[in-house]
Amino acid sequence: MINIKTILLLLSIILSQSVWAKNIVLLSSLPKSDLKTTFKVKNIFHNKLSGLSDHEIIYINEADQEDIYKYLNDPETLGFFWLSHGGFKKIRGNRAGAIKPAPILFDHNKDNVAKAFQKIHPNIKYISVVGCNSFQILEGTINSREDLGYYIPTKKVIATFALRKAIKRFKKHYWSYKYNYLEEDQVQDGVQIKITRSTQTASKSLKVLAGRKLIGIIPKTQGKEDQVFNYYIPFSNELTKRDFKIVLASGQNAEDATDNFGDIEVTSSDSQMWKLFAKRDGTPFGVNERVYLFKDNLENIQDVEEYILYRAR
Amino acid sequence: MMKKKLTTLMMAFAIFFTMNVTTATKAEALVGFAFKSKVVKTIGGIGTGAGVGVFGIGLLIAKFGAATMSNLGAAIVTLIYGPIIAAIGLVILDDNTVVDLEYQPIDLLNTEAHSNFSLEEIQMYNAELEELNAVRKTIQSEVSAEGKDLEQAKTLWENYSQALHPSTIKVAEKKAAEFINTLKAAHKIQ
Repeated sequence: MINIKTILLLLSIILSQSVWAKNIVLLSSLPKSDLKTTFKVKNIFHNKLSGLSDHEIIYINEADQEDIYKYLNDPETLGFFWLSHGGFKKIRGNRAGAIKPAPILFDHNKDNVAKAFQKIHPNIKYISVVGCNSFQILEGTINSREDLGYYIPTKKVIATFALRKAIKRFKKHYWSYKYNYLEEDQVQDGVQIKITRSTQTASKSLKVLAGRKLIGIIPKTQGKEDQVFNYYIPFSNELTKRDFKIVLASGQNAEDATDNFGDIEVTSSDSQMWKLFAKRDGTPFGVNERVYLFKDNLENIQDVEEYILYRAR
Repeated sequence: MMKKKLTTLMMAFAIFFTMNVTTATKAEALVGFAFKSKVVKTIGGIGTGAGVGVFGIGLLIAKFGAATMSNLGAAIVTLIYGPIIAAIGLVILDDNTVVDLEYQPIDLLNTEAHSNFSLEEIQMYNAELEELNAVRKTIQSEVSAEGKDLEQAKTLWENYSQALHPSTIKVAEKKAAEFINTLKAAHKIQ
């Protein structure tokens, strides 16, 4: 016999979760040859979450870093699931060394999308990265967000089993906590930079990192195209030139040496002083990435303005 | 002395050269390939003698069925110091995921680091990490693509590292040597 208090409690939980219609998103990015698994994954996701009728269930196949950035920074995303091959390795005896394996999370093109997980909207309350040994990719975020539920395998996993487990944990988290969402836009001070890119052929999206922090994505192009995008470097009084160093990374693996970055220029209203890190003949250093060094004096950076880091809606 | 240092560094680079190449093997339905049978498969120049003599032009993929972290370490060492390796470097891999080794920041509070380097040297190394890794990847790419030998790779490092601060070079070389020694010690390699 369920008493009235229990019913009221359940109702209040249900109502509290449905104040905003948030999205539950699965981005799947297994190789094309994994069609069978991809099909199973899609069915599992829809079937297991069909009971949450207040929420839109979004499934995207062959997702890439552009999709990751979009949904991880969408105020409407409540739960985020990623599924692909991945793996972070530790090397025995090298715990304290300065040379370590980089985190790897492949999309269906075998591009490494691990760094796209750096910036996560506060409205996201649950995240799962289903890929082997992927914990290290989100370790920092998880440690800094007490309200974030998660399932990230620390060993090898099988896609369908792991996804079921991830969804089970999500549901438990969903029913156990009252989620608080941003009520106002989250703002902070920053220095606006402008990145222009002219491409002649179809080009991959590029992660934009400033001082090793992800600040945005330059979208892919389909061919000849001129792109202009503004980004903000978070400002503080302790900024160094390193914080103004811009790295653009496609994530392409070393086998794919196709250089389709296009012509890129980094500027700001105060300074034109970003210089491509390159050999004497102008050939950029790096493979599938570009490093732009800040060559001006920091004192010349005057144009600091407030910008929206995360939108409330 | 300098030659020894460079050789050690290039050995470390050699590992990078090959480790950073991702696999082109058949995709699998398992995210982690947990149930694969034990197979050692070669792709590229391994086994052809001369090809291997360079920086791991060949790509050796060792797929361990239920590989553990220590399998991976063992794989590295076996491949680097094993019979194939007269000339250094080769790959690693269990489960079709290839490891990309890279230089990472040194914690300024790490007292061990301060015993080897000054604060300024560590700060400079940390500040130039992106450039250092870009140079590393460039050498890796050029050596792999053109089949250059050890001496040519050394020359590349000598040329390209001029774009880096001397402190960064000092720390990078020392850390590369430490990395090799650590692996040797962990796996009891002479």
